[in-house]
Amino acid sequence: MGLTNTPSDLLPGTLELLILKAVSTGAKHGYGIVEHLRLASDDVLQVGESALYPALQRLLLSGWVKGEWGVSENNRRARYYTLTAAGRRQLAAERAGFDRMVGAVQAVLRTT
Amino acid sequence: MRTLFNRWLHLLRRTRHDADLREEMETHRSLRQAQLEREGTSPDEAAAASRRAQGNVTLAREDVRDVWVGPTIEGVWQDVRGGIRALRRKPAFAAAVVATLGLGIGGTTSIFSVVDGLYLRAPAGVSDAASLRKVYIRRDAGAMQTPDGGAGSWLDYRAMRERTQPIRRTCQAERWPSVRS
Repeated sequence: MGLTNTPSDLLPGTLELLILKAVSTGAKHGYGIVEHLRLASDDVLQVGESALYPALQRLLLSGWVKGEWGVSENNRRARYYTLTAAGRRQLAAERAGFDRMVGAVQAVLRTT
Repeated sequence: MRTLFNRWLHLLRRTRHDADLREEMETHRSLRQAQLEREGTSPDEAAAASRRAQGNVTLAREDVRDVWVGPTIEGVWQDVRGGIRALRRKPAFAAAVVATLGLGIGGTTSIFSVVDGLYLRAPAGVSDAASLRKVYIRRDAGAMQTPDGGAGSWLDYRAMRERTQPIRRTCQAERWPSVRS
């Protein structure tokens, strides 16, 4: 899979789930989230900014993550995202939903 | 509820919000450029490559605006136009709908006007409507008896006016004449 700049390259809601998971281990800025996803997926998931930032804003709007301004490694202003309590609950719920979805798809693919 | 509050907050800080997003994305790009340079790409090429990887920034910013503004007035307008088109495709149905609504609203309004005029408002020429009372007269004289009362005759009215002091003024105002035998 190449660079993902539209969320439709993934199952709906998957990008938000991955972002929630990425920031659950500690505050990350946008680039940090993308790098985390890239490294953790062995270069398979490469998320572009025009997919990442709308998704992050949806999470901010829903109150699942919160952003705090800080300074990046190269001394620029960057927004660091952390999971809120509601976000933690949402992560658990979406994770269960995703597992069910993947299981369902695999069940269909196994039929002969 | 929280989402609604956040949307409202966004409306107040829209310009700030957009500037924040632009700065955030520029930081993102510069970090990617630095990473590419560390991997051995020349600075010029790294800058160009990081810009390519960014995708369409304007589109992303518009997407972000859509996230916050939510369903727009444009969506409502599209619904209205769709409705009009659907009605135009079926003129008979549209006419039936208009006639039904017209008759319904018209009928209800005229009936209410009549009820309002006859029962709810004081008759014309009454100054203190709150003190107005209805007086019924009951006769017990054999065949003349009217069990449910009634307005009484002109003679009753005159007698009542002459003999009662506290009543400031009486008036014969039965507007819904009851049928009497």
